[in-house]
Amino acid sequence: MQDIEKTLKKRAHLALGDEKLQSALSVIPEGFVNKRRKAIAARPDFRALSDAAVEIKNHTLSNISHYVSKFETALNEAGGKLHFAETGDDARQIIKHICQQNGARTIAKGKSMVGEEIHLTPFLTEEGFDCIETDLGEYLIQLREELPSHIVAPAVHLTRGDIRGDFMAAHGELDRDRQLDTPEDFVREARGILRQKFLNADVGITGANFLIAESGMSVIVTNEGNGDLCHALPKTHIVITSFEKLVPTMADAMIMLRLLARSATGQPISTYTSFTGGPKLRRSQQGAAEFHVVLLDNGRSRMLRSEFHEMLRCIRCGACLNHCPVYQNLGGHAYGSVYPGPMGAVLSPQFFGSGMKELASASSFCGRCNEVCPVQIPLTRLMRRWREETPQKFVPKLTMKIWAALAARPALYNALLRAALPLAAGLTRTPALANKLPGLAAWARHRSAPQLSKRSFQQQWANSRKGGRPDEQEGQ
Amino acid sequence: MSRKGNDKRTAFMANLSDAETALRRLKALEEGTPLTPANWPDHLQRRADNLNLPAAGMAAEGPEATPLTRLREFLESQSTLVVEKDDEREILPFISEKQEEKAQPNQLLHGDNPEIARLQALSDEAASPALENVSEAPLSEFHQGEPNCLATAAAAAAESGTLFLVSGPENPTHLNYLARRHFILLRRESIFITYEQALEEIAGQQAALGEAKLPRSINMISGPSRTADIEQTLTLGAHGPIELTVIIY
Repeated sequence: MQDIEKTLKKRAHLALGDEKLQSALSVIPEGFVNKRRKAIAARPDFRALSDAAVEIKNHTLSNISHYVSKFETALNEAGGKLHFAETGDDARQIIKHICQQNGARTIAKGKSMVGEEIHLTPFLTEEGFDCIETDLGEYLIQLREELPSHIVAPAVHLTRGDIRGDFMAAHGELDRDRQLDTPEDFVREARGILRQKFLNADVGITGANFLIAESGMSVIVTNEGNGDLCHALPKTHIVITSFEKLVPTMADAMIMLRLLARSATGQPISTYTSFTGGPKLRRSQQGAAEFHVVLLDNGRSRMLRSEFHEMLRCIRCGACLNHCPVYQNLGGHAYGSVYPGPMGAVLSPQFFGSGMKELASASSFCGRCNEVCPVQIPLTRLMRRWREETPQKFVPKLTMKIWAALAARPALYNALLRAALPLAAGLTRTPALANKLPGLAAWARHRSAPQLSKRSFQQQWANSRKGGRPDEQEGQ
Repeated sequence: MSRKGNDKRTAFMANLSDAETALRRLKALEEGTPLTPANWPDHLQRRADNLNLPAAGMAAEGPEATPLTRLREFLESQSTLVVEKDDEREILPFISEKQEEKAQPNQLLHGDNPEIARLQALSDEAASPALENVSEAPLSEFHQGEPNCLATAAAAAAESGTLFLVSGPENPTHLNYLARRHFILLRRESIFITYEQALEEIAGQQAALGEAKLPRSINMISGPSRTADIEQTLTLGAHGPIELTVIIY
């Protein structure tokens, strides 16, 4: 596994200083934020759909045992089997058991955040299975033994150079002088390698974006089609998921689908959305003969009754990550959890223990996440709850103490400011110079230093009260 | 395993039931008349009336727009080739031409599909591609090379340019995703605006076949396979088809 620094602060500093990471992250505003805005503008009833989605999720969660039993009944009728796993370890053992019973060697795995949550692929690999992540992004990070850095785009932190090195090392059987530069080259190579894995796989494992109680169906959404191959080819299929993915009916799932892709990638819908309701019928030649659904709890039922219950509405679209100024600058790894960003700051302490509560401090509390959440989760309110439980002692530095002493003496303060500001304004006019100023240098390392005015706000205010114009910024 | 599993299951369900009772009591206090699973279907009907999904699905289109033009627009924006054929006899020869253009072996795999058989019977054999029914073929046949495949869509929804394919021997699901080039046939009368309308059509088709339920799997397809996992650059043909051609007739 990759080395992970112990504290959030250290990881954040590393991320900010990592030029390659910063260049990889620079695609997020164009790639996700703008596309989402356009997709939502093209759908005038988006807010009404979002209200309906909130109602669907709240209703399902407040009648959850009814819908879990209904799902189980429908799944059994279709010939599938439901397994309950209270902890990550329970889920891993259930899945290992199914794989062993089927004499599995090769496992084709689709992208699943619940799978990531319980480190399923590393576990199965350690148990001796050839378990391959088939989502391209997940495959890239599996080669590096890293955690995903984004819940929708797990390899968003990688550059072409990184991927080239990994492919050269991992695909040693291919010609060393082959062309491997463009995205098409990488995709073609991965397609060839993974196609054989799909065809050889004994077991397919996927997650589920939604579960439909009335029909016992699991819904998988992908752009690559890898989830479908994991389901359509191997003789045994396992869905690793959790109860909050349930919706009552097919019609409810359709409402959720209209929100998911628009919020996640700005597409009207993802390329492939598949509804699967159990093992193949006898008259079909291909497809899974065994169909298992594993429901992981891992702290979720505890959330039902807590003030965090609204978080169970989350559909894992990643909009809160993409719009978060902290995530945009740090990427996902700095959070040290497979669930990063605002949703991760709320969820991680529930799943991984109280050590994760500090993630709530990785937020400016600007509230953009609340606005873009398609299921209207009050993310900042929930993050604040964790923050309240981890108070940090504030120790004022010497500079703070001096400033406080001056601020208590207005006449002295203003006199000093009048004398100092013209000099400071001159110095900060040149950004290169400003970034080297003592006191500003550390702050400005990852931000642009502000250009100061020659006159203080109080001077400008007094001037404008006398009928004069407020000072104009010079050099603009 | 089974006894231990059962105990666990009971504990888990009991846990959920407690939470349910607590939440339901709270909800009753908050809102007066909580939605129960029993009255959820009525709620769905009210919601459908309020939302007016068909109008939203055609939004931002001029008055001359039809579900067909909207479907085309979306599919084409997702790198799909869409052609309309008024004469059914031209469909298979058209595929033949496309294959020759791309210097592809003129062979198409498909399922045990009566509609494909019907089109084959009325087309000029010399101008048609070599069609192969592989509904009984084992997977081992797919290790060498990538096939080109032909399937029929059960319905389509214009609101996002989405085709609905149902599983079964007529259209084996794996062919949709193993294909390098994929051709999908879509009848004009199967084009609707919303997902709900498309599903209703599928339920109707199932009922006509004497099947009471929805098929085992339904696959919504809205373009060729794609990924943006390499530096967020859109690239086609991640695992599934590199090219998708939809023939409307």
